[in-house]
Amino acid sequence: MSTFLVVSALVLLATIGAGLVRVSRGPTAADRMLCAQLFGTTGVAALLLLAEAYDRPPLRDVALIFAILAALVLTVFVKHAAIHRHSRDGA
Amino acid sequence: MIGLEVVFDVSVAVLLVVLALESLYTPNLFTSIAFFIAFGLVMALAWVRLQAPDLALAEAAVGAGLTGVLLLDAAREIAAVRGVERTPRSMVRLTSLLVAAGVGVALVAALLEVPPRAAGLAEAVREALPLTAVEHGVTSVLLDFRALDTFFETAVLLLAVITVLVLQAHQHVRIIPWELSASPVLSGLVGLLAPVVLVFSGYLLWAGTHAPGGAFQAGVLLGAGGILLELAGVHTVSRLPRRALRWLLSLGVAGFALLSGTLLLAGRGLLELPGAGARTIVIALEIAIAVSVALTVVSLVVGSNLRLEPPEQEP
Repeated sequence: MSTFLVVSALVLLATIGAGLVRVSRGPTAADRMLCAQLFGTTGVAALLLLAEAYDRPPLRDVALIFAILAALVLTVFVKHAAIHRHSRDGA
Repeated sequence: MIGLEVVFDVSVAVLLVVLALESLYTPNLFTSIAFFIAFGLVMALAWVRLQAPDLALAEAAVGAGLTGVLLLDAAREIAAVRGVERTPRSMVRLTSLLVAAGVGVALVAALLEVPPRAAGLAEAVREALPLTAVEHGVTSVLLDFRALDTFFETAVLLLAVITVLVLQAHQHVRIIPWELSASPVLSGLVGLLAPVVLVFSGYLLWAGTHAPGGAFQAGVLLGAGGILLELAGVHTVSRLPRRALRWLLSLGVAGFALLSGTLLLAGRGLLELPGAGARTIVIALEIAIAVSVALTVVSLVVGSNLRLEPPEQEP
């Protein structure tokens, strides 16, 4: 069972590696940012798998922090995009 | 099974190096930041594999709650003033190169001093744990065995936030309005998240006495919640009277100073906690540190919106 969980976490890690291509290529800032956001979701899943595999409940707290705060960076990103559009339209 | 763990650890290590190189050498600042956010995430996984859940918690809170936001803001400001700024002189570059190289050499020398496969002090802490007021090794080191280090760490944080606030008050570096126009999506999201953040940071603070967690992680998480509120236009920290803000920012340092002063007057050693009541003292200190850290985090991000020098009080 534990082997299955660690293998699953490894697969998730591999998807992060594959996703790096999208962060690197873009083409828009939103592509890069959304990709980094999806890494966060992947990381939460990997942490939960590791918490089960090694029976370490504190790892669920780490996953919960990532889950709760995922929206913060994205909100700041949207704020900048909104201000940018506003100033461009106003000019 | 062991082979599988080695594969996982090597993958994490390789991914970390790739992410670090990408975020350093990508010409586009924004792409660098996206890579750096991913770096923080993988770093948290690395701390987990190194059996350091306390560090993983701190990495998660600081990485997801603070550095990403600060870097995005900084990149936007750099883009806004580009063309105005000057490239550093070659003397400055040379000096920073020399300083960095010196620190690097010192670190490598220190690393070579450490015996390979040293057991560290974990066993000693575990044996002495019954003597302390808490049941978690890391917290006992931070607030009991090495409380003096934590005292100075809170002082360093205070110094950092004072520096940032002074610079922002006098140079007007921030040009971006820090607030979004009212949006039902944002206020709905913040309405859902803010209570969760509050409860969870309280839980982390409480957990620190017997499990991974503690004042710094709880404080950063609470601060990130404060940033979310400010973004949604709910002004909690930025509308605090400046005197109250100053006191709350220094609450952690003040708590330590008060405690050590009282203990010295009572004829004990500096920060030598009394047996009875030590648990209450440790928890009170943790709360004070968490509050200071949270306000520091919000102040670093929302800086100049904190009206430190209100015009009506200036002559």
